[in-house]
Amino acid sequence: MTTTAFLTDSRLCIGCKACEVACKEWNDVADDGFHFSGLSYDNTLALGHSTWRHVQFVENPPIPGHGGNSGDAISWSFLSDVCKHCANAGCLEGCPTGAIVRTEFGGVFIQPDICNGCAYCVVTCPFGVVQRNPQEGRAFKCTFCYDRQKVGLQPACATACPTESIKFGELEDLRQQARERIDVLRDRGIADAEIYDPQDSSVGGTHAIFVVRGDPRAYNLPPNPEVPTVHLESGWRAAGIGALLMTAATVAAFIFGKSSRE
Amino acid sequence: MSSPVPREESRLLEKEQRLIEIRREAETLGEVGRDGVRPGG
Repeated sequence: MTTTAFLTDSRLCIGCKACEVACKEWNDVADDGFHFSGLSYDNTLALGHSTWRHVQFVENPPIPGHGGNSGDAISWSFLSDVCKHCANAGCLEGCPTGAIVRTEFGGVFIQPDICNGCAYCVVTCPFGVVQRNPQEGRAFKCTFCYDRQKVGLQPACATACPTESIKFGELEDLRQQARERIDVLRDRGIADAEIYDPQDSSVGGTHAIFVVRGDPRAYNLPPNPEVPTVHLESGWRAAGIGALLMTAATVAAFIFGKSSRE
Repeated sequence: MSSPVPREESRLLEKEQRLIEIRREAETLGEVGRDGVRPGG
C-alpha cells in the first residue's frame, strides 16, 4: 500500500480557506462558532476538535518583496496547518485504549467508537493538534480522509485547494517535489525558503511536509518536536536510582538503629 | 419510486460535487493571485 502525505506550500496559499470549508463539508464537522477574534483575518485561531485544517495568517513587517508590494503596509504569509501524521506519533504511543491506529497509508487515525476521552493524546501530541470535544468528551483531529483514500480519492482539502498549495501524493515523491520547489524559490531570490519535515527529531519525520519562508516557529511549527516517550528511559532510570537509594536508606536505618539501641 | 442511486452513495456524490463548488468559488480569489498581488498585499 502506498505511503501518502500532504505537501503544503505557504508560497502558493492565498488564504481562501477553501480547505477548511471542504474539510468540514466532507467530514460533517461542526462550525467553530462565529466569533471575531481581532487577530488578523483569522477567527479560527488554531487546530482543534472542530478545526482539522486551519489557515494561518502570519503578518510580516512592511518589507517590499516579502510577499507584499508596499513599503508601508504589512503583508501576509498564509499556511494551511493540519495534523502532521508523525512517523513516531506521540498520540498513538500515549493512547491507552488502542483507539488511535496507524492506517495502511501511514496516517494516524482516531477511531471514534473506541476513544474513551481520556485525553492522553491531547498532552502527548508534540504539535498541540489533538483536542477533546468538551460537549461529548472524545478526542478529534484530521482523519487524513481515510474514507476517501480507501476508495482512491485524495483528501477533501487537497481536492478543494484552488492554487495547489496543498498537494497530496506518495511521501517520497512529495519530499522530492519539496526539494525541487525550494531550489526554484531560491533561484528566484527567496533565500530563506525552507522545508519543514523534522526527520532528525524524535517524531522521525511527518506525513505533512511544509514549504515555509523564514523561521518555521512563525507558522507554529516547532523546530525540534519531541515525542514525550523519548523521556521514558531517563525517567525510569531516575525512578530506579531513587528506589535503590530509598531501599539502601531503609536498610541502613534498621542496621544502625538496632546497633545504637544495643 | 426508488432512486437508481443508493441514498448513501447519492449523498456522497452530492458532497463530492460540493467540494468542486468550493474550489470554483475559491478560484475567484486565485484570479487575484495570478499577477502576484495577494489579498492584503
